[in-house]
Amino acid sequence: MTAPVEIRAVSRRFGTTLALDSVTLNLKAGEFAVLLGPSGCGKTTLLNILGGFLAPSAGAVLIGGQDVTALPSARRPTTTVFQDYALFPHMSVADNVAFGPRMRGIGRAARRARADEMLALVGLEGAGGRRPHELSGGQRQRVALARALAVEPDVLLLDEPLGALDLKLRRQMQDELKAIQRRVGTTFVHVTHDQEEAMAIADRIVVMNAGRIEDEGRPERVYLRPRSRFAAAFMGEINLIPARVGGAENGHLLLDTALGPVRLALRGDLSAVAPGTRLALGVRPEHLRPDAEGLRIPAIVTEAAFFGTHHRIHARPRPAGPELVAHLPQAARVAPGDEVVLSFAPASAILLPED
Amino acid sequence: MNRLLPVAAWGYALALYGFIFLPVAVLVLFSFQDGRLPIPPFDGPSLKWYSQVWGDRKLMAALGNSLAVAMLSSGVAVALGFLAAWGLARGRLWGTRAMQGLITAPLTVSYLLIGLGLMISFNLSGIGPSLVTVGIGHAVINTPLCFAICFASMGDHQVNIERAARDLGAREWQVLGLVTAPMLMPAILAAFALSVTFSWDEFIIAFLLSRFDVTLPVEIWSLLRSGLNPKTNAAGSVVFLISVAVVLVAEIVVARRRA
Ligand SMILES: Nc1ncnc2c1ncn2[C@@H]1O[C@H](COP(=O)(O)OP(=O)(O)OP(=O)(O)O)[C@@H](O)[C@H]1O
Ligand SMILES: [Mg+2]
Repeated sequence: MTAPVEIRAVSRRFGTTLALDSVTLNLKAGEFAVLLGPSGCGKTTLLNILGGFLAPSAGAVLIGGQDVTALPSARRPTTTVFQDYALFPHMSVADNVAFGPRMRGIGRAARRARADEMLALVGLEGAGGRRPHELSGGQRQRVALARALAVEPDVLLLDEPLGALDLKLRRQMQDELKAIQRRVGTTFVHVTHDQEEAMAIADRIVVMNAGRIEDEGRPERVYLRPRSRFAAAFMGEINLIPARVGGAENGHLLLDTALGPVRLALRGDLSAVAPGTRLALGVRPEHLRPDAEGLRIPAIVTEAAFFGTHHRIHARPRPAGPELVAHLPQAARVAPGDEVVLSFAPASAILLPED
Repeated sequence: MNRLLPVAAWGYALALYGFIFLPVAVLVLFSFQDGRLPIPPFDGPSLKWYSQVWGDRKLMAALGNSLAVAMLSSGVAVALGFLAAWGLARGRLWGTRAMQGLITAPLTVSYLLIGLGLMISFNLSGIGPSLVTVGIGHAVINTPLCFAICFASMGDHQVNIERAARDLGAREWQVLGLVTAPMLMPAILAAFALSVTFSWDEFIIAFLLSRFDVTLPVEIWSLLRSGLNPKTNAAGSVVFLISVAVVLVAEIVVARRRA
């Protein structure tokens, strides 16, 4: 089962700190949404408000069109996968998974079957008789997932469910999580501060900072065309080049940057951009290449490291300019002290506010 | 010096255990005495005093009373202590600290004072002394203990587990009965076992609050008034043995649940 989620101007205060500042967000039914943001930005607070563990100071939450703001967690069509799994230590794995159906008054045989079905879904068939403490971290994670899905929630909430797993297992679980979500079709709201994880699983990424939503949308959009400086930097490494508007002419914006003039093709009304306005031009390291068309930046390599898929270099532009990070192709030969000429296609650059 | 230290440590330990267990050992030894007095020289062993205990209707009745009082009062004490601990650990109440202090405060009050206080209170409210009042007295002294044990075992980790139960649709009484209590069973069992042993050999309160039906320690005390007798030793040994058995069973059960 699945349902859309509507968060309307939700705020939450803890004493004097504003953990959530008028957050508005609409999620479609069956969407895999990821709340992404640094520690303390309010992700858990928002998830707890969705799950009914915490009441908002202001605003409303609607699930499937129904206002659930005043409902306790037991009566919401949501279930949660907790970061510490929160399995019932005194019950077998099967009893853990069957707990939700049991609370809904489903008979013993039916809920046993349901538990088996759910355990098979998460790849744990045959483990029903074991106790939670006999399982590995990854297996407990799966049990928690099976237990939360066993009651067919409309919305599944996951608070850093993979946080305690090692990197390899984490990547594997991401793929499985995504596959399971596609299979059950439930709306997933997943919290993480790992940007790679967000990209790997999300249909929609919601970047949060200090209790606000900085940007939200499809992963490609948020990565390639972030709407804020914070979102741009949080989604991945980026070079921010100070720039000033020089003028506008037939659909192009002329910028004076610290590295030279740049002509950006822009859609929309440019008359609002006053000449002299200070901006920042964001360029992702992989867009700075020796072979791209556009502004040419001679530079000296100060550091170089091989990352397998690419070489990551630091380069100091000549004669002047901010130090840049660039990804050069795997086959490139670079060493500190080398001279390179980097360039980027203006179309790949991101125009951001100065601060 | 270095070689003396272990010797001294051992000596100290032996002296310590000697002081604690020698009287008990002597008591148990002379319960097997074949003569009429529980004093050296020891001749025996003989089980005749045990068979006398077994045949003594009043002693056996007192033993039954003691068992009933211990079980029931401990059940009440554990239930009250556990619920109080749950309420204070989970609820957001005003003055939690003060209430916690108030509940555990009776641990520092002597049994004599508690017994006298209860005796006067029962007297004023017209309730005559009986096994029920003894049970109430024992619940009074054991509830703070059960509260302290249960409260100490309630951590923040379990908060999330209870939350998960609520999230899956459990009502509050289901959370308590199906999740919290079973999860804290080791602590609950330990509190129960300790209460049973405390109630089992408690004398002053049982003495002050009972009249016709009495518990085993009170019955043994009245035996003592008629002079030293290996039969008293035998009865005392039975009390000791049952205490030890309760503690052992509790240890085993708790250890098995932990494993
Ligand atoms: N119960 C609480 N009492 C007081 N302040 C709180 C409480 N819960 C959260 N906060 C504050 O609200 C803010 C948001 O916290 P939240 O737990 O939602 O962050 P988060 O994004 O989940 O961070 P993390 O990634 O570290 O889990 C923080 O500043 C935090 O200190
Ligand atoms: Mg959090």
